[in-house]
Amino acid sequence: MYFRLQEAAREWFKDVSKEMPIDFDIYYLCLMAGLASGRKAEASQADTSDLTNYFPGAYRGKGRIITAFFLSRELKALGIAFEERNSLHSAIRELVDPLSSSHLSDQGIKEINKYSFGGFKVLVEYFQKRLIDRPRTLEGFLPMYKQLIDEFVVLEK
Amino acid sequence: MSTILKIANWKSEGLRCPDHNVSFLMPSDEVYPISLLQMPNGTGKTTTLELLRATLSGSAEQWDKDKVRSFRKRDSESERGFFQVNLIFNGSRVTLTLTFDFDNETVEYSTTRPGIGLEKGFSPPRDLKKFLNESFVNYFIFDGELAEQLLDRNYTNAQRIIEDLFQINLLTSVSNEINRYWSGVAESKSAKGETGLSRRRNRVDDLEKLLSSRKQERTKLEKELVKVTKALETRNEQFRKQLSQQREIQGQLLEAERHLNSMGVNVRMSAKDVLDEVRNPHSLSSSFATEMVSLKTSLDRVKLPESTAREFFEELAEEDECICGRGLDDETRRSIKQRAKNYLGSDDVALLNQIKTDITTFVGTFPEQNEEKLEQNIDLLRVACNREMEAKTERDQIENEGVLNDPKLEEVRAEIDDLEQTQAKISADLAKYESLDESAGDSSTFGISILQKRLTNAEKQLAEITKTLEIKQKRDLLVNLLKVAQDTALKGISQEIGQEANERIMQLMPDNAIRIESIDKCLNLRGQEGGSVGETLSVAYAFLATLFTRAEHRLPFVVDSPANPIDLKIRTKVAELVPRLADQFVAFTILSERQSFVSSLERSAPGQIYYLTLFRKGSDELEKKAKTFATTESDDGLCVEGAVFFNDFHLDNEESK
Repeated sequence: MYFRLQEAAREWFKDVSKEMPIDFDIYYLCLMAGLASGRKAEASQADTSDLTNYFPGAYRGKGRIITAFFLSRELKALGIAFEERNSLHSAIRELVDPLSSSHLSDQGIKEINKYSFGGFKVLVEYFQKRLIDRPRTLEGFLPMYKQLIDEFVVLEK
Repeated sequence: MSTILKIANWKSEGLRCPDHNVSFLMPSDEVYPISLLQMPNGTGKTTTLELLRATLSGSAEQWDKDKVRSFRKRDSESERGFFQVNLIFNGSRVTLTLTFDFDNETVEYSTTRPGIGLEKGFSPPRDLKKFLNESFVNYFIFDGELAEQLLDRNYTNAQRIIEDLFQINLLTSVSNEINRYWSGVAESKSAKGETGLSRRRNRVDDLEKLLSSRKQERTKLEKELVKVTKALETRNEQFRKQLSQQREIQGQLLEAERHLNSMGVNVRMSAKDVLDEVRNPHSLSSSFATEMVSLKTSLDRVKLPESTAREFFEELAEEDECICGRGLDDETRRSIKQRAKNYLGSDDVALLNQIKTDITTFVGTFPEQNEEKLEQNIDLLRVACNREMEAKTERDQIENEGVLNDPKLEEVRAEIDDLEQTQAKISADLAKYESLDESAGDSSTFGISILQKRLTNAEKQLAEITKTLEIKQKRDLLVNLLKVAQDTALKGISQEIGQEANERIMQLMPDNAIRIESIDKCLNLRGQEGGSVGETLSVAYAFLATLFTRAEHRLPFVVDSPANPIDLKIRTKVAELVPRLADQFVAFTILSERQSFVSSLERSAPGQIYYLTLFRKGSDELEKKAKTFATTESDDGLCVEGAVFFNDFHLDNEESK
């Protein structure tokens, strides 16, 4: 099972991605927007393409911390309390796979991809509200991206 | 598969006819080719024939209470009665029983067949069903009335019997199967007809044209962009060259350009630093970092992962003793194994521990510090961007000075401004073709990938309906072919049957011109609508004899009074024909038929005839005489075997009834 990237996201980031060495950056930026907003979305096979089945490049050492954050958000979304040991075990076993290079089970990858697809929608909508069709420079994009995350954090509180 | 059907015996009890059990089996278990069952008037011949037809056809299921009541034995208190027929079907026994409940005035069937045993209802084997139905049974349980009906299109369907006997219906079954397949295909498709096809084909054509047009527009714009960009480069180069020729600003300009480049590098380095921080989820927001620490704390609080992994308990359950020294029985083992499922596996435990370690390592003791670092980097990026902007302003000011010194440069710069505007406009126009917006209709959509996607979908839908239509055309062709084959076969076989039947009619009645003209729903006679009773019966025999000897299936032929209405002269011919009609011929005869018919039959089939005489009790003299022969006796009837009693049975005995 692979992390999958939407073709539309690749297109949207095309000016910024010149300054990002790997496409997984696009996937990650979308993912964090999805996890911050709690928004999941579906995308068809035809509209997406395989990226990797592991955390590449700069993300190599950060796979478990990303998995931890995903796990935390997903357990919250599922409404599982830590005291419910059986449910907790069951959810953890369903989402993670210690033997997988991504640390995630097939189901886990499926769910994390949904956050990335949902996050892309969040990004497009956020920029559209500011009459920006897509980011043109990394230096212009990143401060706006941080602002977006902050807004969702405030909303969550 | 061909069918060979014979009647082994039938049995009647508690019904209007005398109770009897007539068997047509020879000691070798073969059936007699010809059986003559003499039943004087009043013995229940018609009743027996009716019961035989009903038992073999399943038609009694439609009987009303009056009809059921009419079969009750006169002056009898018996609440039940039955009629049972034992058949030999392709070597196996099949028993059909019609049971009467006179209290409730109902009937019910039961069937015994190989591999199934006894079951309720009328359920003969599948291959027999096409013969054991109301319309077909009348052809082989036959009487003079039915012979007349063969010539009447309101009563019979002669072609139907040809279709059944020659299995022409198989072609209908193939047609039905094809239609069933087509229905299955058609049901799963949204559009099936020519209108749907035309609509989908038009959409594909329209999208192809639109996509081609959009691609041409884009190519044109791309070419314009290349041209404008080249012109812009040329003008910029010209501008720089002319500007650098002004000695007074030359040094300042070089220094400003170098500074601007340097600021640009700073911006990109700062952006990279920010991106590096953004790649840490815990740096994006202190809230995220806190949440991760909270995850670890929560896991610690509930002691997860456990220090003991699932495998420990699974292995323990295999031991003879618990680690505490107590013995383990099967129930305890089962319980341990069950509860082991509540623990994580060792690999899960290891991963959770690694995650907790990473949270401690990456997020650290002060979670908010990570976000602070990112915010500092963003601040540095903003400063770098501002400095780059300042450097650009500084450079532009020096350029403006130069332009003021040289009016020609003003023109070049104006050209550059125009070209830049054109370039921006073309770029903006080109961007429309990269749009992924799917909300607009086809004519307002410019995104080439979106149009391509729509075209692919439209082509898929067109292919689907094209395939569906192809299947429909094949269905129509096959079904028509099968219909033509069926009609041709039926027509051909009917003609041949008619011709052969006519030859038989000529043998039966050489001086009679009656002939079959054609066969459709009924037998159509040449130049006349009907004949005398004898003529009609002769035509019917000729037709059935041809039919039964030509067909692959071999059925018994049971006839009521086969020769009674026929002229004495023809009876002889009919008697010659009858043995060839079927492998088993059973005739219900009366005394008057013995003349010419039975004697001729004996000559035609010497030693093959089985004689039975069935009559109701009542005449002591007759009973006494009967008992000197092989006799089966019931409460109200006697059945006597043999030609001697059969031939000695006198008319006055019959008439006395």
